Amino acid sequence: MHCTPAEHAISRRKLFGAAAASTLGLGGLGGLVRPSIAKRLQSDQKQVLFIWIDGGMSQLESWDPKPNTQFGGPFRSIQTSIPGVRISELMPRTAQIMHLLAVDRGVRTQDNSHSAGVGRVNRGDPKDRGVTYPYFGSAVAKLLGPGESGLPPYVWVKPGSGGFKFKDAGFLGPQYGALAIGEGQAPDNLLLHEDINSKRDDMRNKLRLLADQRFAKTRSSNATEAQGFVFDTARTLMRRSDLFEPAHPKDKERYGDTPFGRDMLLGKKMIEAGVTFVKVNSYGWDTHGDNFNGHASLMPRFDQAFAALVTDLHESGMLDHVLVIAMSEFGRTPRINGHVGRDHWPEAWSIAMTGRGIRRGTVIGKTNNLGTFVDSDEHDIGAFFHTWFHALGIDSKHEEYVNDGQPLPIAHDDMAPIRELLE
Amino acid sequence: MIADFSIEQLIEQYAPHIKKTLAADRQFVKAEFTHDGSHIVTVGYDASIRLWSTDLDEPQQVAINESHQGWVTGLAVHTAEARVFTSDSFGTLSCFEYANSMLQPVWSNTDAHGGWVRDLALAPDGTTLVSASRDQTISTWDPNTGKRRNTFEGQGADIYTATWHPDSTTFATGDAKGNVVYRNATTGNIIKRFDAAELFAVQRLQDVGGVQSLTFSLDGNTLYAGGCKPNNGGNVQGIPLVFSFDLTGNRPDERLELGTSSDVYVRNITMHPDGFMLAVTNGNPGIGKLQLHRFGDEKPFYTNTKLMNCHHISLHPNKREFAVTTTSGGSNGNGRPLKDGKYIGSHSPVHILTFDKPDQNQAN
Repeated sequence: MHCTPAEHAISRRKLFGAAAASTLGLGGLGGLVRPSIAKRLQSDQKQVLFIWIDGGMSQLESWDPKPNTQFGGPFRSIQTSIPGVRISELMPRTAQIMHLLAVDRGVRTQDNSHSAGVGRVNRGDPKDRGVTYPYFGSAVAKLLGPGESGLPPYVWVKPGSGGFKFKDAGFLGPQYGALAIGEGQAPDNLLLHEDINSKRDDMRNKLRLLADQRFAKTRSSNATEAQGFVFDTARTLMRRSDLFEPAHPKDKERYGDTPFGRDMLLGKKMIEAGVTFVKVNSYGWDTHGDNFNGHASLMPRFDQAFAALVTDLHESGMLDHVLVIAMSEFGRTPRINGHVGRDHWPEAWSIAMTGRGIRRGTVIGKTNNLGTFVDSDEHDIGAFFHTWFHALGIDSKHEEYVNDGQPLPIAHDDMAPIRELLE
Repeated sequence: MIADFSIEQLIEQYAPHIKKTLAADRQFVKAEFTHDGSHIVTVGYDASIRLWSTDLDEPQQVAINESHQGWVTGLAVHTAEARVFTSDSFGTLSCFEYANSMLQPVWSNTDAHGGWVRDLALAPDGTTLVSASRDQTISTWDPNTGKRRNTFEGQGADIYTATWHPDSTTFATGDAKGNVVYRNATTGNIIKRFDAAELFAVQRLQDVGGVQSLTFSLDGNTLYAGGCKPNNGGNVQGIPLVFSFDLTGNRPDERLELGTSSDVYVRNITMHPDGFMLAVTNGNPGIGKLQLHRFGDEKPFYTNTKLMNCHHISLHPNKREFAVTTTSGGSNGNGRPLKDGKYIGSHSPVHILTFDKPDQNQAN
């Protein structure tokens, strides 16, 4: 019989149940507690919205400014809503909600290349045991499951192409990969063809299941599980076309009329609809050239969407349920190169977070006066994975994956949660 | 005149060589000769204004003022008096006298703009100073008192650069989005807008490019705008471009490509009275060009690729020498550039070049 592991399968019954619930709709203004959100709040489902700033945001032009120093750059710092804490003038909206955030300015990771850094940071840099660990999204999808929405547990909202991205899943298997939504667009052929009524659709689906079962007898279980999962996901989404309706003009205005603003709004919709883990990507941050003029336009667009999202989740009460993380694969060099750019710098950078399990209004970690190195306890990505798992109620010291019978820790063995960041 | 020169004759006459180099451990955005050519003033990323004597074989710093904040990117030297005007990225505009190897503050306005005062230009007759800012406004100032005369809006973007027409009654500004605006200096009325939109692109979330340099021809009939046609954001790449906009209505506008996409920005353009243009590019780390281009030619008659990441040119009052602000080699790289356990920054050699032949220098 065609099957998927019991703890991860999305049953058709659940899918249709969620589809029925979805008729309440999720479009409209952010910040108001709509019935669908109220349902989410009652469920106490733990969720994650992970903002991936691809290429490397400059910590000096964002969370850890060093104005009037050799490497400080041209921008001023501004006071935030936490007394004594200042961030870059390029983030005026975020400065107003700083009391909702936790920022660690003492991040030190291992890689100064994208090729190594992206994977290591996204996997939490566990000890090498000869297996490919999952990215954080796949890990959370596995450990928390899909919830009751019937929607895929891991959705990736990104510029560029969409589709099913299985590589994030590592040894967990392709069913823990990400359903990618490209350019904010609904997947192709989302709506059922007008010539197919529900009775005919049911008949076609029964036939497909029979074919699946026959197919599964001659293929590996991973491949067939993934195929079944993708099909189920597609059918769920066919009943949730509301998620892809154009944003309300006022929401668009608040989040910014940019690809990132659009994707953050869609990410929020996905969270409100019950997706366990949503990753929102912003590309184009690898500012080896013209870093300062680059950040002068990049940062305000990030700032607007980020502050709007956190504010909306806070006002709706969802921030108590949703862990929000904003990070890159590394920071940028204090040294300014001849192309007026900053290069890759894993030695001293910042990660911001808020929401579920996180102590808000907290800034920990410290860099030296020039911003060149960490001048406090250093925190590597493994410690953050412990912290985030803990915030989600997962005991990262004892919980294990089982891969072909091999128990594997879910985070770096020698690291522990960063207590100052936790409630 | 050089209009009749062959390329070989132009090279023979004008191929420059480095006469001396000003060495510092900091990064400069601009280095300008003083009105009498006896000194160089530098400004840059450490908020300092430095005065350098150029008499010796190795130019020596003789004065420093550190009253600015952030970056100092605006620098205008009075053409007749020992005064210099500077502006910083925190919104301050200042004036200094540099007599007797000292930098003496004359006046300062810490609220000149709501943000980065990116560029300054003093009218050729010395009567008006203009400032261009990230706050999208332009202001005119009395250079003697520092009192604001006017503030002009309507550019609609972060304004990168400003330059005066030789008649001192009009000026032009260029911004982050490739707009070039030509105005009456007294009223602020826009005389004409020029389209340099090719110098700008939006790549994902990033505004890329913009008008990096502006200057009028010495006869005031042409306005030159430099930048690049951006290919991508992040590690910005793009073909270096110069547009020449005709102000007489008698000639078509022209578009010059000054290199490949790794050369990127034309950062500065300066007019030589003999009838050619000096331009410098700033591209990938380690890449930079100095080019001499006779008006009307399709290609530069001289290109020097050994000056890395050039930022600025300043023509000496004698017109036989000029200073190019560059960047040290090996300025880029991921990870730790440590030397003797210390973190090393980049720095900006300022090369003083001459059109004179080495033997002529000896004779001088």
